[in-house]
Amino acid sequence: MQGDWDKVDDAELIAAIQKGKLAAFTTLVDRHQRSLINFFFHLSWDRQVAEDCAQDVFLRLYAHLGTYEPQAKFTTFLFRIARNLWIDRMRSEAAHGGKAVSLEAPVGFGEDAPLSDRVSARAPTPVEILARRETQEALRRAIDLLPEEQKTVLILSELQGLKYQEIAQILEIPVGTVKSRMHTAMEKLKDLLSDVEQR
Amino acid sequence: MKCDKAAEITAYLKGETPEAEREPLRTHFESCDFCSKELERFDRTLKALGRMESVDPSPGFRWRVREAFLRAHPEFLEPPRAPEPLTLWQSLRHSLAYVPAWAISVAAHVILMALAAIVFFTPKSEEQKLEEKIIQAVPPRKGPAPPEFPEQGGGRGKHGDKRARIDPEMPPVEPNFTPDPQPGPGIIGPKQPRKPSEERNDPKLYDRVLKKDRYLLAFLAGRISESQRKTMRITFSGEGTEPAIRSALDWLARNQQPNGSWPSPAFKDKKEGFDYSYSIGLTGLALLAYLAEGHTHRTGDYTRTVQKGIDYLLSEQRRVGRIGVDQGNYMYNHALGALALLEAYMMTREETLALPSSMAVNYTVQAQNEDGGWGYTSRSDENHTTVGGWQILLLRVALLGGNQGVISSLLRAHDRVMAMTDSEGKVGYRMRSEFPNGYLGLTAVGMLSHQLSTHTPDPDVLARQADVLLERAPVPGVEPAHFMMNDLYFAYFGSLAMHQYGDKGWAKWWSPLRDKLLKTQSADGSWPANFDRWWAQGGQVYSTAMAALILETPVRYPRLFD
Repeated sequence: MQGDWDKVDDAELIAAIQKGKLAAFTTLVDRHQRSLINFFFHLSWDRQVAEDCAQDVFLRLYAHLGTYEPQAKFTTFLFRIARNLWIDRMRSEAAHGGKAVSLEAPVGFGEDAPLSDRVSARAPTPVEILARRETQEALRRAIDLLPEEQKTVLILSELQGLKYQEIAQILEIPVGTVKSRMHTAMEKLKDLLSDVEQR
Repeated sequence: MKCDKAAEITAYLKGETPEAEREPLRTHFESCDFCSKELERFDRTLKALGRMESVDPSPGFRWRVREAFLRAHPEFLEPPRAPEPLTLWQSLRHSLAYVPAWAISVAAHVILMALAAIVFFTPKSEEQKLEEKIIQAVPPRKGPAPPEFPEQGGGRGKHGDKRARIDPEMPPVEPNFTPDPQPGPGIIGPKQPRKPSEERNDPKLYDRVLKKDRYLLAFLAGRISESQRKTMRITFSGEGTEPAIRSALDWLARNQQPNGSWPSPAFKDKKEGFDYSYSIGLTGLALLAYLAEGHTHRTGDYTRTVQKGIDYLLSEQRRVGRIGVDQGNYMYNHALGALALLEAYMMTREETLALPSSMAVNYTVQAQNEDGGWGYTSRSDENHTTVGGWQILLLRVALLGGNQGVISSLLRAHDRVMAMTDSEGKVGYRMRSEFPNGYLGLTAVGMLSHQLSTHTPDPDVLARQADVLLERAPVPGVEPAHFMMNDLYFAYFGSLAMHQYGDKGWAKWWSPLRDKLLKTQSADGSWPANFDRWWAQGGQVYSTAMAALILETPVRYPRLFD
């Protein structure tokens, strides 16, 4: 049965969920879990937070299905919920004294590292591991120096691969604003990452 | 010198520039010194960003979302399907392989007569028959039936006075069967908005979920049926297990102590006599081996042996419900003793066992750690996957018996098990990826715990775990020199888990293990004391009871999933 749902597009899955089909819901989760988790991961650098937020998005999703328009792209709809959830979370944390994200936190190459890293045919050498870790840390530091609004645009565009038009719909801002925020972010990153580029 | 057109570089590189503007921009970038350098730097920056790491969802993520969603929207829960009983044809097909030709002829005539009878009678489906059996054997509870909580201990056994002792470590026990309306902390989806309790306790939801469990309860009650066991043996066990089990039960009966217990010899201190530190656990194991074969204190061939064993456990039960003293690693002892009492109660429905067994189950619920696991002692600081495995088995059997009060405890336990499971499906001991004695036994415990602690286990995780288990399926090390490499713990939990997993891996897992056990049984019916790596704790009683229980796997519990 799962195999049948895999061939169905997002709009049809949503229609099926509204008719009470649990398998349609789990298929939707399967399809979008990775991108959602990574969206939050790149915002928080915390895998647990990322999964908690992604789970909340899937739960919120059901409540918002009534507002989904089948002709719209589902990912836009999904990331709008994700973005709003993140804002709520930030506000909540700010109200409770804020939660500092440590820039010193080690980049995960152990349990949380991508499976592909751990099952690759050739194990990386210690020098390679160090180099990769340093690269990741430099990337994180650089991205974290961006203001929240530029960071979100950068993540959606560069890491999620969304078009400016889609990002504009998600953030409910003009396309021109997306374009300028992205360019400003790149201006800053090109200096911050000059060292990484050499590696 | 700066150039205004440089502001277009990012959009250009990302393909976001309108088609009509691309060519003029390209021409400009080629001719403008500033822009061409900037273009190169932006390009390198984008490539650096492309090296940003991403993460894979953890193995339990999908399941957690699904479970949280179902908790918020129980209307999505599809009625569980009952396990398919064997069809007439399947039964015949299996039976014919073992039946002589003359018997087949007689059977054929009987079938013809039965077919003729169908003309006059509408036969009941297997499902209807099972339902009827349930009603006769174990009528579903109409509502909470809390037994009275005793003010004083007492009961049978010469240690009855101990039961009156109040254990200060535990909060008051509530021996009832009502569902827990508020799942405890640590349940999957902690930030999920709480639903009104009446919605989450929708009796229809529980009815749907428990409908399947009621079938399974009939299976337990039906253990005393020789025909049921025979069918299960033919289907899953293959030949040769029945005499081996019988011989093991005989040996256990001969080696029971006068007080009804099965202590282990005092190996560790090299003293004469017995070590009673695990006698409750070993007594529980021995009793479970009898019960799995349908021998209770009321029916079967070992009524006196089973009665004495039950009396011993009852005499050791404390007022808080715990079986045994609160010394050493007592949660193992408690779970095994409790499981034996509970199964004896479910098979006989004898009222004298109702209160002790429900109190014992409640003790396990109360002893659960904050984060969903169990340790060697009640509410300890550490979670031990192996200890938890026995408690989860106990709670799931209690759920089969209609005790809905264990549901939230099971869900919390599931959370814990999933948190201990790594991306390959291996389950850690006190934390993820911690395998002090190897990952096989732990993964076997974890796989069964995963299967039993939810109605919706994650098939992907189970498939990975089955692969792990099958990769190192019990090796037929039948020579005494290799006995110490054996791990009956792995084989016991692995067998229960692989049986639940279904046909996919069962034959590969089962055949070598069964053959190994049959080949290594001693002439007196026991398995050697040093047959297992944990021999020092359990000795010959442990190896014999565990081996018998492993051989009984297919007749012990039905498959919970299709």
